[in-house]
Amino acid sequence: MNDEKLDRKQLAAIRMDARRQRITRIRKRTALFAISLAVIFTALVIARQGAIPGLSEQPVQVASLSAPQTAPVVEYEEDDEEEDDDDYEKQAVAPQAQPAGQFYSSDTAAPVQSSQS
Amino acid sequence: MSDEQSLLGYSFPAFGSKVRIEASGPAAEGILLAAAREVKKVSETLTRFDPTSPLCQLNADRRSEVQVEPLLLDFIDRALEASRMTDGLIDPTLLPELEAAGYRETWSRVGGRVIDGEGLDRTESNPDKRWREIHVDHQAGTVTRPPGVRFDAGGIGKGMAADMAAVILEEASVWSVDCLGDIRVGGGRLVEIASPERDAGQLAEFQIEDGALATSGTTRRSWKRSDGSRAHHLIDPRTGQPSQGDLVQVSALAPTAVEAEARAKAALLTGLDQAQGWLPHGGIAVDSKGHLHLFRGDHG
Repeated sequence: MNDEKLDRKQLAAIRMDARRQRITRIRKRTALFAISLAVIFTALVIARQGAIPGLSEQPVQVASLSAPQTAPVVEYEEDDEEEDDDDYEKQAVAPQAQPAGQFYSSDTAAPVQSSQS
Repeated sequence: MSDEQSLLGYSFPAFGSKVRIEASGPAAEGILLAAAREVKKVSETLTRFDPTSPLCQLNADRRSEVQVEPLLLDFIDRALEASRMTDGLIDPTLLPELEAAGYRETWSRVGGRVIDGEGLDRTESNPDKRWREIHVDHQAGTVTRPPGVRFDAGGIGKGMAADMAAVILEEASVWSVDCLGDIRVGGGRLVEIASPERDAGQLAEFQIEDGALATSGTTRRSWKRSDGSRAHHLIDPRTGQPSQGDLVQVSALAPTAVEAEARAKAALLTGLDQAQGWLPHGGIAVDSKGHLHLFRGDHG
């Protein structure tokens, strides 16, 4: 009986620790996103003139430049974390057809293209 | 190419076109297939061109309260959140207006054809704030809306698919998902923004460490009318007609693809004067004269 109680306590401690790690990971990711946004416009935006046919003489205009601010930190309720775990378990056992597609090789330097959705 | 730089990609049909996902690392193949299943599931649930899809079944249901599957409920929830954020500029109930403008079939059938709009049944046409009458009950698994209100997934559906795939792709150190312009990346990727004009190259490049970018515009998914005018798929909920603003394309940065999609469309609909307010994380807009406008985000 005592062993069983001990196991439950250990299990609860392990789950709590895992949950803390997940929350920490999410907070780090949120902070990383803020850092990412900070570098986007300072270093690597390359606006190319002349990309639109017939409009190559038009200047590139910068509409506005705003002051840096601190990004908000997103807090996650523990109950939500619990629900996520349950959902994940359900999805993991559900049989699903594999979408027909093609694998290809790429590299981290190759750009991802965003066109009108 | 070193292992650190190599990525495995997977391209597959969804949302009536091709979706591309990429991931690094030895587990990439399994991650990509799992992410592809998520995207495909969203695409099949939210298509309006398959009468057996959960979205079509909901649209055809004349009851005011309908039990729907969790994924469809999740979409309606995210779409309504976008509606609240944009005060109704994003409205998932504009399907009657979209069909009346001419977009009644898959894009592969609409593109390149001359299609005239048609009159709208005035009992259906009252788009302003129609979304406010929709209620989601997660506990009961039901959506309640006035009978006759029909949903279109639009860009929010694609953004949702990208966000759901991202949850799986985050297991890789470098990854990306491109759902027809709604993009999520992690671990640092270069993202190029295509010109509003087809085959006209790139407008700009962004290096994004972790986040989303969505591009919305009026020039690609557009069609001719017999009077020579052009119509397109972006309906302005304030008029019920294709938007007539001074911007033809907007790309928005945001933490999630759904938010980026909502911000891009809201900026496009409200025009250059108000675009800055819709793009707090940054973005790029192209106006009808071809000028490029760069918006630096609040974060730097």
